[in-house]
Amino acid sequence: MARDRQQSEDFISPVRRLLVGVLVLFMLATFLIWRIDNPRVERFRMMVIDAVVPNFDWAMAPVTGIANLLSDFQSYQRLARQNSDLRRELQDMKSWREAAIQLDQENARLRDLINVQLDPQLTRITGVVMADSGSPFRQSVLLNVGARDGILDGWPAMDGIGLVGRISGVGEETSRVILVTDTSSQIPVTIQPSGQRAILSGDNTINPLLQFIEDPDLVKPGDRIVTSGDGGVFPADLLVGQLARGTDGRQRARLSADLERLEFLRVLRSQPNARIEEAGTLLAPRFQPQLPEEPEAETPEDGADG
Amino acid sequence: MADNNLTRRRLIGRITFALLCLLIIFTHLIPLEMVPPSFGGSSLNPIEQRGATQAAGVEIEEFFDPIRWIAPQFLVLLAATWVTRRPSFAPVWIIATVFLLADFLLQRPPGLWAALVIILTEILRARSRFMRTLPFWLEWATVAAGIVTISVIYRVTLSIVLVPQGSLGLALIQLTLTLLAYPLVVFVSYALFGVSRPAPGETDELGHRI
Repeated sequence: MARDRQQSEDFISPVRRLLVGVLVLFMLATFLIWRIDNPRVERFRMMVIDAVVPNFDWAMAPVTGIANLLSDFQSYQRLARQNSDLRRELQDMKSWREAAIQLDQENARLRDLINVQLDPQLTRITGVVMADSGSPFRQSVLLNVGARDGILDGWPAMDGIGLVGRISGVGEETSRVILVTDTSSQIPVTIQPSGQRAILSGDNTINPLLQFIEDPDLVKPGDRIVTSGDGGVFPADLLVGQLARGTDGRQRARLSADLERLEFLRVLRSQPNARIEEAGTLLAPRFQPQLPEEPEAETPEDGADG
Repeated sequence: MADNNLTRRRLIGRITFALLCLLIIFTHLIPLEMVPPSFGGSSLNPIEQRGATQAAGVEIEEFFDPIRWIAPQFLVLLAATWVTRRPSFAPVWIIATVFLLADFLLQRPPGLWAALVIILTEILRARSRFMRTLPFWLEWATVAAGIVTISVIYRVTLSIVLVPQGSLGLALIQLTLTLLAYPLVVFVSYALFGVSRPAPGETDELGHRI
């Protein structure tokens, strides 16, 4: 009975070693397949996430809530100072508000004059942030809306104020938003009021870089950055943030969205813009344009809006 | 009866290990880390803005980056600790499953890190019998060398196949934190879960040498 265990280990070890070798090869094969056929494996990854993460949700929501509560409590001491700042800001804002109301009325009158129809297809779906990327090298969040709710890859996601990111990866019940701070995020933007085009590219810092500004002399810190809609992926004129010069001397964007507190995100249903590629279709369209007089029973469905 | 006891303890150890791994993945996924890592300070020059009214004058708005620490890679530390100290609690198939799942959930290239961790843990497992007589700092050094090696292989492989990676500085900070956290993981494993190195010549209930 008192056999040496070393012996039995020696006995089983070749088989075991073989199995471990097969396991390692399997892992490496997964990696290679991912490298070669990325979209397919990424879809599989989304399936895995879709299957696993919603199961964590019952635990994740209270833990997140408690952690946020604690950090709220920590910030309690800052509230008094913040309050006085806000009062002062409010005074300032009142005058802005007057100006805004006047502009709004003027705007409405002008719109009425030129008979503009706002794009009815720019509706939104609200999702709750379930999880983050879990890695300091990746900046993304997972939303609890997915293909079930009609989410498509490439749609922009915003918090209440500014652009947060873009949908990249859709599962049945979940979808991933690549934040604008992620290194793989490149978004065409316009800098107002000068109208300069640039690319907002994340570099894993809180303030993404603005690259390829046409004429950097025309922009100044404090300018508004909005999406430009170039490339047909994003709708134009979503607020991104404010231009600022980084301490390293490069132009960066101060994001309007509060990335520290992402809880609800609005995913905008963006329709691909009509792309003008040939001159001929401009002059004489190949297909007869659909006239609005035609009785169309179907209206764009807005039921899933939260 | 004694045999039952032994298998039950091993089963409990394995379940604990798997649950701990899932817990670590879970804590990584809690949506609290949505800003990129930074040590605070300010990376933007202040913006001078005119107030709304003429009287308000120029306001200077200063920006501060939110502080966000990088967590050490507790998952690989846990696997290394348990495999070194109680190999029977951390069988290779649990490690393989957990790390493949982690690769998928944490947005890493799937499979590569899992394969490297399996190789590392198998090497440590083969040496665990000899490592139990080593002083602690040597054990620490062995595990640290292993983790550094697989991290280097991981980075080199990713750059060979041209996968975009995070910055080197960030990776070095994370690696350093991971290596420094080893004693902590060992202590917690020992104090809370009783994962200790068997003393030389220690026997189980059947009189086998462990």
